[in-house]
Amino acid sequence: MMNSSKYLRLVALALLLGAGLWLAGCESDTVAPHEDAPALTSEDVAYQTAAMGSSVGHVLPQLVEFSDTNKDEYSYTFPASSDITGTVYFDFRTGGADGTPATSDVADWGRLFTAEGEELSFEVGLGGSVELKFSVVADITRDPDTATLLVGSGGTFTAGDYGAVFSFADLVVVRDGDYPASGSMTFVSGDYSMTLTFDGTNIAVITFNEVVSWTVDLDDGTITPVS
Amino acid sequence: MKSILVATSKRQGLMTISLLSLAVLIFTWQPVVASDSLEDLLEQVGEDYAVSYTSPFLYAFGPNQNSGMYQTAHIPWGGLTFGFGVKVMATHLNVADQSFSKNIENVDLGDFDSDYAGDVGNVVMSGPTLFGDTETNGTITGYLHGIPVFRQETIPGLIDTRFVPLAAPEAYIGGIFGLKATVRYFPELEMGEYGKTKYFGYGLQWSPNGVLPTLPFDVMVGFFDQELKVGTLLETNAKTYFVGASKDFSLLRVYGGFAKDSSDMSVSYQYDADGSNVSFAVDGTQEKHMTLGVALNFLLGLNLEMNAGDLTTYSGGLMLGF
Repeated sequence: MMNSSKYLRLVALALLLGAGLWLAGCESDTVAPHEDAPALTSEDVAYQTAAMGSSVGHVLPQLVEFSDTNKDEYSYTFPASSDITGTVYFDFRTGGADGTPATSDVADWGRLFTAEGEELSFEVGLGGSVELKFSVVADITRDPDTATLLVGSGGTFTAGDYGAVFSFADLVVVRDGDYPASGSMTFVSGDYSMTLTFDGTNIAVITFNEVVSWTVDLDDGTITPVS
Repeated sequence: MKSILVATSKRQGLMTISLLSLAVLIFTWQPVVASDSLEDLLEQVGEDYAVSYTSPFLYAFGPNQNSGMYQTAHIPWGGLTFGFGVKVMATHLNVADQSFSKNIENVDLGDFDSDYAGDVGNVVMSGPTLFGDTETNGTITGYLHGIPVFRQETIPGLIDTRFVPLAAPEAYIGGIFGLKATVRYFPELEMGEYGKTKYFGYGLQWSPNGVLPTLPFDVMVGFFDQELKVGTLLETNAKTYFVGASKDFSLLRVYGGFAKDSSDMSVSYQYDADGSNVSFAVDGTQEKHMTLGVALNFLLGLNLEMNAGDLTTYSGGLMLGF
C-alpha cells in the first residue's frame, strides 16, 4: 500500500512535469507594433486609378510605336526625359498569338510585358511614384497603327505598402496618340473597384459604384469630383 | 585538518573574486556598450519612431528584472546565512518583434518633409527594431492620397538577436525567523557624456516553514523592487510580489512559483534633426508570470529557470552561500 508521503511525491512530480511541459510550450507575445497600412478611402483609390490611367498613355502606345527591327532586342527602355523609368519587352507576331514571330512593323499581334522583378516606375503628379507591372496582349491594325488590347490584359500596381490589380477592356491605343482612343480600365484596390473610361482626350472619367464620380486629367493625374 | 580548512578557505576566496569579477565585467559592459550605440541611433529618429523601434526592449526589460528572484524557498528560522553571486537573465522575444510597422494617420506631412507642408496624409514607419536586422535600414514613408510621396531611410537594428539580456550582481542575508533580505546593487559608474549608471534593488522574503514544520516542501512569499538608470538615456523600475515553493532532492532542488509584476521604463535623448529633447515612458505589459527552475546543491548552486508570462524569460545564476 502506498503511503501518503510517496503519494504526495508522485503528485508533486506530476505537477512539476505538467508545469514543465506548459512552460516549454510558451512563446512570448508580440510587443512591437505590427499595423497594416492605413485604410484607403475611395478618393485615395481614385487618385491611384488616375495615376495608373496617366501611365497607360505613356506605356501602351509602344505596341505600335516601337520600331526596332532587331528581333533579338525587342525591348524598350524609357528615356530619362520620360515620367516612366524602366524597360518593357515585346513579342510581335503575324497570324495572331500562335503565329510566326515577326518584326514590329508588320506584326498584327503583339505582347508587351515587364520582366519579373523589373517593374516600371511612374512619377505621379503629386510628387511620388508608383511601381507598375504590365502584361498585355493586343491585336494590331496597320494604317492607321492601332492596338486593341485583348481580354486578359492587365497587370499590377504597387504604391508603397498598397497593391492593386488592373485590367483593360476594349482599350485602343494609336501611334503618336497621347491618350487611349477608347476603352476602359478596371482598377481594383482592396474593397474598391473603379472603372476609368478613355475617350481620346486628356480627360477620362472614373465610375465608382456605377456612378460617374470623378474626372481625371491624364496629363497630371489630378481628379475632380463630379457633382 | 588545518590544511583542508585553509584550502577550502582559499578556494572560496578565489570563487568570491571570480564571481565579483564576472558581475563587474557583465554589468559594466552591458549598459555602457548598449547605451552608447543605442543613443547614437535614437538621435537620428523622432519620438514616434523611437517608441516603436525600442518597444521590444521597453517591454522585455521589466520581465528580465523581475526574474531570478529566488532559487529556493528554504529560509532557516535560526542560523544566519548570507551569500552573493551574479544573476543572468534573458527574455526570449517573439520573432515578430525583430521588426515593426507603425502608422501615423491624418498628419501634416510637412512634419516629416517640408516639401509637403500643409498636406494632410498618412505616414508609415517600418523596419527592424532594436533587436532586428543590423544590415537593413528602416523607412518612413509619407502617403498623400494613397500615393507614396516621400521615403526616408532611418536606422538599422542595434543587435540582431531574440534574447534581451541583463546581468545583476546580487547578495542576500537571512535566517532569522524565516526572513531573507536580498539586494541587487552596483556602485555608481561614470559614463562620460552619458552621465552615471546606477542600479539598486532590494527585496524581502519570508518562509512560514518554521511555523508549519510538517509541510513536505518549503514555501516562501516575497517582493522585490528595482531601479536602474543608464546615464541620461534610460531609467527603469520593476516591482514584483511572488509566492514560491521548492523541494530538495539530494543534489538537486526544484523550485517554482507565481508572481505579480509591474514595470516601467523611460527614455530621453536629443533628436539631432531639430535639437529637441525627446522623452517618453511606457508601462510594462507583463503583470504576472509563473516560474519553474532547478538548482544544484553544488557547483556554486548553479540554477536555471524559466519564467512564463506575456513574455518568456530564462534566468540562471551562481550564488556563493555561507
